[in-house]
Amino acid sequence: MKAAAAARKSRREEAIAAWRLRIVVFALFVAVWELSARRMENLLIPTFTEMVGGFVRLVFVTGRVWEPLLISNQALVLGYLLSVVMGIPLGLAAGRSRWINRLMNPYIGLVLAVPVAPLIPILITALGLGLASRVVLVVLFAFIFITVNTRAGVRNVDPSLIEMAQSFGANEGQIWRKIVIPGAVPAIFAGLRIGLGRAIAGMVIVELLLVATGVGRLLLEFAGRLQADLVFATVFAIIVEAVVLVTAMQVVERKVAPWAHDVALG
Amino acid sequence: MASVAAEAARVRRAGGPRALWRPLRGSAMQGLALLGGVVLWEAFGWLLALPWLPPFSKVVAALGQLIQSGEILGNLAVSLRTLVVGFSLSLVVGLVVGALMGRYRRVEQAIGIYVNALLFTPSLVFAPIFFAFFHLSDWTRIAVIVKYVVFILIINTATAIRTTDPALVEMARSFGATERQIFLRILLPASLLIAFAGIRLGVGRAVKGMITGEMFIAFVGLGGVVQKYGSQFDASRVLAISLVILVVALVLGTAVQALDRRLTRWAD
Repeated sequence: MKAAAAARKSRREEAIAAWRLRIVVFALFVAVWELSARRMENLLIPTFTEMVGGFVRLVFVTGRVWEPLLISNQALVLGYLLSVVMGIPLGLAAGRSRWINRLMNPYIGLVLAVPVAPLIPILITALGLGLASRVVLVVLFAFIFITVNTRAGVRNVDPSLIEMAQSFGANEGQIWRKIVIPGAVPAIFAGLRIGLGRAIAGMVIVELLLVATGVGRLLLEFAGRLQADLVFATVFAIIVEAVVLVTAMQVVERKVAPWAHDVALG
Repeated sequence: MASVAAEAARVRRAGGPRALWRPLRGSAMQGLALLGGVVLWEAFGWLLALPWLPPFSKVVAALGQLIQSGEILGNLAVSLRTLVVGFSLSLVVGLVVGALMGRYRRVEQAIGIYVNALLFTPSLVFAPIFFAFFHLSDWTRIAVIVKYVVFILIINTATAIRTTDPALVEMARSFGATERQIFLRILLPASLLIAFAGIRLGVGRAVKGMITGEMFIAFVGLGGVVQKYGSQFDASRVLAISLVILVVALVLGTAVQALDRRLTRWAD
């Protein structure tokens, strides 16, 4: 009892020390930014306080960031859902069947290696400047990471477990439900998380490169008018969105599959 | 039991003709799959005659033209120069910071939040910020490459160091190894295995960062050329240049893999 209480106490002290360290590092970062930005007096580089002021104005006072965010996120939500619906079954199939894997493997390699950004004009010729192009672009960015991670997860399932289940008379459906999918879940979630990050990247890249709309257009507008505080504030808003979404995904992950944390990025 | 398994494994490795045929059949099928894709592409290109789907042969012809005009090679050299600088920089920073983060909990606590946040943040939105610092110089594009690559390297290296068997470290310490020796002789080589997975991912990301940076910031290099033809909606040329970029990415990826095999041969 005593030992447990002591361990608890030292854990708490440890957590407090960690937070103290984090706050010190953050304060240091802010101080360095503020002072060096003031000394530089560069029109394109705001001080930290200017950036925070810009962020508060964008988000709370004028609320200018919300409508573009809403527009951008339509493509993100649709594209990401499509990526999940496509990516997981493809990965499951490639992981379980050697024939399907052989057919798909060269293409998986190609899609992983080829940069998507140059293909945006082709996409726009095919689908126009509307939502459809942006959705497909998000899919092109995201689905392959979900597929690859799902495949890796299925392959990592211990084959002796499957053999044992078969020898006890389990059919293919039972093997999928009881062994393959639960075993692959950690890797699938890792893929979903990486895919989400890539989907957000795709959403912004298309807006910055070709289809001027959403937060990408907002960013370009501010940059064109040399409103440095708002440029930095918009970037910060995008960082906040990415962090909030990925953290939410991690929370879901812990709820749905508590055994699935700490999978290395693949 | 064990010796039976070992014997079976030896027989499998030494293998009869069937064992020899198996990997060959695998790559033959992959080759066929690729070839099938190209044939389908060519057929649909001619049949549908869509402006955005030129047949494969037209893309190859466009590629020939681009190479002859010298547009590819000159710009490829420009692109690769920033790639090498950006990737080397990311490698040094990524391995050092990642190793420190993996080894010392305090470092992880201090900067882990930032590394994780930036890993999942789109890189190209930082381009205007890099532009504020470096203007139109090469460093803006190099910074974009570093933003693309460095965080995945840090995370992978930190994971690699953290998952190194603590028993190894214990043993070294009990034989009187110094912290420095532990770091250089045990943690670094052991983590090389996992860190290389990150490096392989990093090379691919570097190529993407290079192209996207060139497309967005300064219209130079391969990204600049592809942006030029993209704005003319010239699908054949865009696809031809994409093929070149793909080859660059695959060659670099294969090189890293070969290096990986050389450096981590002791692990077999």
